Amino acid sequence: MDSPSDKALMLRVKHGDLDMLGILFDRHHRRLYSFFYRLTQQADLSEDLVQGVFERMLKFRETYSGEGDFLSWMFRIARNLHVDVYRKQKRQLVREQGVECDALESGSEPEEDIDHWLVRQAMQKLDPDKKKVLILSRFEGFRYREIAEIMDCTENTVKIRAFRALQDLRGIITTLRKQEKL
Amino acid sequence: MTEEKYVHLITGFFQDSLSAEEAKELQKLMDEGRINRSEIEELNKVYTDLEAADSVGSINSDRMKLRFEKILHEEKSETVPPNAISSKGAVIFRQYWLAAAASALILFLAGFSAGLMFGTGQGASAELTAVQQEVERIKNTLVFQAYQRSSASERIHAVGLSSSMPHADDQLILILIHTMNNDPNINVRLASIDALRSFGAKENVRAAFIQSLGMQQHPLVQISLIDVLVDLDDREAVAEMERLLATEDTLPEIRDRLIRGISELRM
Repeated sequence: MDSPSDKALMLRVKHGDLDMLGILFDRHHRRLYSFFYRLTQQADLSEDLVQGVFERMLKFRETYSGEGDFLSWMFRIARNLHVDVYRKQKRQLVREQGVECDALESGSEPEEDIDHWLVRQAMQKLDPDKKKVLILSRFEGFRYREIAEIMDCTENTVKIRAFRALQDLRGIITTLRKQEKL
Repeated sequence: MTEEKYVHLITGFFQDSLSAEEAKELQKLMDEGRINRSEIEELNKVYTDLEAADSVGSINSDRMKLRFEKILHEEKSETVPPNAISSKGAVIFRQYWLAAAASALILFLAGFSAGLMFGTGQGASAELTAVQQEVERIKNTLVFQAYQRSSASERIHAVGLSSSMPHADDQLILILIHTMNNDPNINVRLASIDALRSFGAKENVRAAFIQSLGMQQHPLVQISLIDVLVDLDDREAVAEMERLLATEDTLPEIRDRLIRGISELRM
């Protein structure tokens, strides 16, 4: 027998069968964790954000219509949650220390492969929206149309962001490489 | 620099989603120099390198599942379906109702006797009305004594009963408003909103809805309040809805509902 679809499970959650969310958690928590980790490079924060997504799915279960793709709906919640947390952290950090938000997403120390480390560093310096487009496209396998749904914008905007993100990334990598040689 | 009008072809190339025709078109544009070939090759390399450089690290699924189970458990204990009243709860509640009914009967009989004593003139009729009003007040009070000692499901039932009372007095409405603002259980708060909806013609009830919107934190309660204020066509609510919309912590889903609500109220 086929296992129930994500959509069917979420509709059961909506109608009060909250245990079905456990199956959705088992199916998707790793993928969400990877998404958040690539965005933040912070394991603890990524775990918190995954919990936050499922909390919001519980809180907003009555607003789930069952229309459209479930994954797009879930990643839209994930994206909104990250935006909220990012803004809060940014406000707090600026208030407390007067530092720019780039400091929020500084990555780990250089590892053995300097090229890979440079790419990861460059990713952390990208504009958050551009970074999300690249992560959703390259790692999560979403098509541009689906990313547009998640990001609440047009498909053309997504394509332009993806293109500019790669241009920016290339520029940042070049700069970082020069700094490494100094 | 490559022009943005070709972006759909270039990004399609990166995602390997171009049709044969589009791939041919891209090739032609690069051959003609209208798209910078070396730039596209460099960007494609960056796109490819992303995967090689990817590092997500290990994930502690067990710990995450435990945390998730805790959240789920909390939500389940807070959420009691209105029709899921336990048989024990129903018995207790019936007992309170019987007590209320018995007291009402005694008071009514007392009033009836008083009526006989005072005669049948206009003064007697006024006395009888006063006693009946007192009976109704005591009945309401007894119902809510049960309410205060009860479980969430019993409270939901009590709130539901209150909306069926034909002559809800100000005291009852105040209790419902207090419940809407203070009950620890979300479903009881939602039931109170539903019960108060039938008294929406009263100005103090509409004012209470608006005030409550500024206090409530749970999104389901917020959405329910926005819905009821829009249904009541209460334009006084627009200012509070705009204030909530301007609050940074307001969740995106609530923002969407607020924007729709404000627009409906302004129509």
